[in-house]
Amino acid sequence: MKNLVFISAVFLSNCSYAQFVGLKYKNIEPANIVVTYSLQYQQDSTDPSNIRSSTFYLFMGNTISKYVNCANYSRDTATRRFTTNKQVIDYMTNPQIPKAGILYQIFKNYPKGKLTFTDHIPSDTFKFEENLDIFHWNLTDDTAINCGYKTQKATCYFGGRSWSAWFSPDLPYNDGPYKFNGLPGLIVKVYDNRNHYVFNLLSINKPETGVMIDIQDQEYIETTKQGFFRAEDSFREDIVNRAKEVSSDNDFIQTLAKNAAQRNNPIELLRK
Amino acid sequence: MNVPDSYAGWWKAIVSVISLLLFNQLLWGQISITGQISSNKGEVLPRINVMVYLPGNTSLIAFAVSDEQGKFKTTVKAVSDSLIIKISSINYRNESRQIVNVSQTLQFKLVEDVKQLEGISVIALPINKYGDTLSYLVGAFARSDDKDLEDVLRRMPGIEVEASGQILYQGTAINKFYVEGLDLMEGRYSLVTKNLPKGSVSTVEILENHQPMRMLQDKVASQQAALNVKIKKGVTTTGTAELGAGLSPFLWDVNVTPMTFTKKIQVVTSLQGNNTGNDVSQQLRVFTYDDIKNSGEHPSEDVKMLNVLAASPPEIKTNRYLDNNIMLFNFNGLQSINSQIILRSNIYYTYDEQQSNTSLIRTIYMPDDTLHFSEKFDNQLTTNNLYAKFNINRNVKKNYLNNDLKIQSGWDKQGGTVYTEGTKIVQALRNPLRSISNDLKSLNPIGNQIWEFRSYISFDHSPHSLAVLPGQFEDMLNDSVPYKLVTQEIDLKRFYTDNSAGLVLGIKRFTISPRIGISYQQQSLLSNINLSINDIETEMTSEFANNIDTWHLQGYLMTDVDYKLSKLTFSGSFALNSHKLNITDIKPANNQELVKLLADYRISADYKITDFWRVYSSWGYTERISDFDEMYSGYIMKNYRNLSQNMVPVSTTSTQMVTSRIEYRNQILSFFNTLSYVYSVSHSASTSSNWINTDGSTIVTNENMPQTSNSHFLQAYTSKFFSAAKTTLSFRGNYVQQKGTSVVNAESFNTRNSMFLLKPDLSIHLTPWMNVDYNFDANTILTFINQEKKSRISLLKHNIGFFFFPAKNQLFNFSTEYYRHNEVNNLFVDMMYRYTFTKKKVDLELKCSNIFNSDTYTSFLANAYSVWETTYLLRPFQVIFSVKFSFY
Repeated sequence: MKNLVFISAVFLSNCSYAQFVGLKYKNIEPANIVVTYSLQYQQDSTDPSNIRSSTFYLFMGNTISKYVNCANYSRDTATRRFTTNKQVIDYMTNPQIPKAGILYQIFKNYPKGKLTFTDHIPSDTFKFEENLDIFHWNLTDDTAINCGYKTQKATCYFGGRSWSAWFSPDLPYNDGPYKFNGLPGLIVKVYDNRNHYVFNLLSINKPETGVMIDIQDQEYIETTKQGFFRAEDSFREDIVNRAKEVSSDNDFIQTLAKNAAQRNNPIELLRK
Repeated sequence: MNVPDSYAGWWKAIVSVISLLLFNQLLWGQISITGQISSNKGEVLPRINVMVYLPGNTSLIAFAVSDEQGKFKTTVKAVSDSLIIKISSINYRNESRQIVNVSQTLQFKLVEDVKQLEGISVIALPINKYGDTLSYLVGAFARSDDKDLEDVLRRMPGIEVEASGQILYQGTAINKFYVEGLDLMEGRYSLVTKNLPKGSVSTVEILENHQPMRMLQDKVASQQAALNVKIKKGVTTTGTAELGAGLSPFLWDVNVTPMTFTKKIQVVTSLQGNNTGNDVSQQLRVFTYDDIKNSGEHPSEDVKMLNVLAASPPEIKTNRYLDNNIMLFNFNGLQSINSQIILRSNIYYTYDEQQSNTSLIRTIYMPDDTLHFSEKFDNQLTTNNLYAKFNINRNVKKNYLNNDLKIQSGWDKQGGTVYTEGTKIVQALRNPLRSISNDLKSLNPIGNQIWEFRSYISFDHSPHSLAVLPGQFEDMLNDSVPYKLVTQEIDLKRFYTDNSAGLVLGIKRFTISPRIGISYQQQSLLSNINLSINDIETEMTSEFANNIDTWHLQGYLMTDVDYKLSKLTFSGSFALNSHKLNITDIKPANNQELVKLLADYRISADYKITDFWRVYSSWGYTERISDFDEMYSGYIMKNYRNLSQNMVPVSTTSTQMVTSRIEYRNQILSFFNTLSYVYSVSHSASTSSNWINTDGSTIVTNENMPQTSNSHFLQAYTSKFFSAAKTTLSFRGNYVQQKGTSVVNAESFNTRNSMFLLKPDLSIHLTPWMNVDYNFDANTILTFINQEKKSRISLLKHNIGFFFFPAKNQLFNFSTEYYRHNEVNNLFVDMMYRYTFTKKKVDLELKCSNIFNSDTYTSFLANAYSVWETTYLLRPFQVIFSVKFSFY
């Protein structure tokens, strides 16, 4: 038994948890405002009843912004306090701790004129840059009141989907959820024409003082958007073999495969 | 022929040139507005919104956002004399300018002015919020087709329920699930949410940032929420049931789980039983990391000194071979004394009858001789176990206290018949168990640090007896005269306690977690061997009896140190153990005393060379004193063919272990490779000496002869996913070598075992819904005695697995395994089909196992100088149909 504990502790500390201890973060600038968005998405394109939802924070500073999943953010703030692998193992092996969920983070105008995208595919963290001005918005005449703000609609084609965005010139930003940006007012609502991805503004708040926009100062695998998509798609398609590395439980593997098969509707359909 | 076309082309061109000239000048055609924005201090301002309106209109007609140089450009096509340009941003005062509708370049100088944007919640949540508690009225969210609490939870904003039953709030799992403020299930709450009818719940409360340990409430922030369910009125009894039946012989599988909630007392009970080979008693064990961590240090409650000889369980799933008849009753109850103290109890009772038929061929290699023994076992095992755990939990500001009291009582019986070389030997073992243990954990603040104190106390008593008919070891026990019956009796009483205190310190890049403690064990062992000759009981002489009292005191200090640089992590642990051991034997010549200070070290380094390459290496050294449970001067008959004695003085064994691993993992190419190597060497002061009689019975003594044994383990793994073909090819290779010295029949010789495993695997993902997997494992085991190869066993097994989901509520699973051994083909085919009625939450399952009715399964094991070939009798072809549903 002692050996088992020892071996598993060695295994855990080396494979997956060590990365959580003593993580360093690079502060970029203070957050002035935090916007909360909800996302409803259909993760299986063949099953309209399978709607998942999630919430995101958009932290905006003077020059840059950070877009992060709320669950990921709170998990991140919890693990930052840990100083030993043991604390992390205790936290992670607690069955009530959330599963990873959506782990990507988007830093807009960082570096200048670009956006930085980071995401985790077990067990590596990837990073790539993309131009900020990838959206070619077409302004329409449609106006409406959304969430109490006067908004106007603009459309664009992005990542294989046709998108409609409602933005409010009264909110003097040019940011929005996910990678969306470049409209003269905060995006209040944005969705694709099949309603597979629908983002809605939930709230606009001032963060507590001292909240920084920061980026984890870790070993990223730097790649391109295509390289990342390739890794992401391979992980999904090869899930059975990846799962075999961690478990020989057939039921577990089949559940993973079944779940992976349902995740067939990424937000960006253009993968090459 | 071409004339009209070219003529038309010319005409079009002329018209468009004229219209361009006319419309641009007269009818306000497309114009372009460019410009630059800077602050009044002269710095250029990027990412400022530029909006173009028509005078008197609030709808935007064009826009731009300034670039890194503060420059912007937009085109406008509007029917108007003039345009309004608005410049807006959060940090500068808005500006508005009316311009003539012609192409032009503009300059803006903005004045700093931070706008106060009031924090506003745009959507008022349809729930009430009181401080950190949100409450949802169940009636407002439930729909008519919802059945249980889980269905309603799914509809509540902010709450998600995972397929596993786990509840998330704002994407984060809840840390506690309370019913009426009480935590009965300790994490296994899905039993409640899946079965509590919606009609019985009035409100669901979310306690945000819930820290369950009150003393940590102001010190350690929690990001997690807890969920509390309020019951409408009085008592609710609900439950779930699963019924299954099949052939052949008649198979049954039952699971009924009713439960009751009141505000003071809560109860969940479960009755389960089957004869389908499913060992449901395994489910009762909850293995959290904490449990595993602690159990390693305590002596096991289950003493297995004597046994009815049986083959070790095969590596296949229990439901393929286990012939059982199990009944299990489980009770979880909770009573709250006041808001600070709760009492929990968990009581279960299991009754299991297991039947197993195996045959074993043992081959023993010696330098000049090879012995073969064959045995057939026909064993019955009756497990009769009562387990009770009482928990008291005090949760106040000043400290946190959790105490578990466990009481276990067993009346196990085992019977076995072994057929060997034409003789029939019957064995009967009674191995009752009585144990009581108490585990106390408390957190207390001392100064600025929080100390963790643990105290564990246990007492157990095992009076076991093994009877063998006819009598064995007649050469030693009865002057070589055959006799009727031999009985081995032992009586072991043990007391153990372990008390420690620890904390965690963080100093810059270092983290140190020291723990100091003291443990004490005291035990007494009584044993004797009785012969029954012509129905007269005779007790054997003191050479075959023991009366030993042992105590062992151990003080320890251990600490873990971690040091982290960006790409490199060092960690080390160090432990000092001070031992004092005293053995008092009724034969004073065998009294022993030992005082020793032993140390353990371990250091490791982990280095990430590049994105894809990584190396890891560690070295460890441990010192242990010999297991004093195994120290006895009188002979003990452990099973019908093993008579053991150990008189060698207590000594220490030291072990060194080196581990290294190199990895290349590239997800972008889906190419993964690992090479790892482990070497370990240990030195001990004594060697066990085996005297093997011609009938296979063995007399084990210990010799004061130092010995060194070592092992090498090498593993290579490579896997590549070909995305165009949706195919994964992988290959695994293992090599293990173990070397040591053995003493058999007074002859000492070197042994070496080598094991090779090669396992290529091809996996094809035909569609996302279908997966086919083929692999084979080729195993070879070699045994060398004094460098001479004595045995070579090879086995090749083919496996094909296939599963697909024809629809979301259906699952089809097919697996087959084939190997050929001793000219016999062995083919196993299992099939499973599951259909779920999603709305009614009813699962139907049809399982066919061992379709080709293969009756045996063979496996090989090699150790030092012996090789075991074990053949297990399998469960025959069987079909089980089962239904799972909930009742209200």
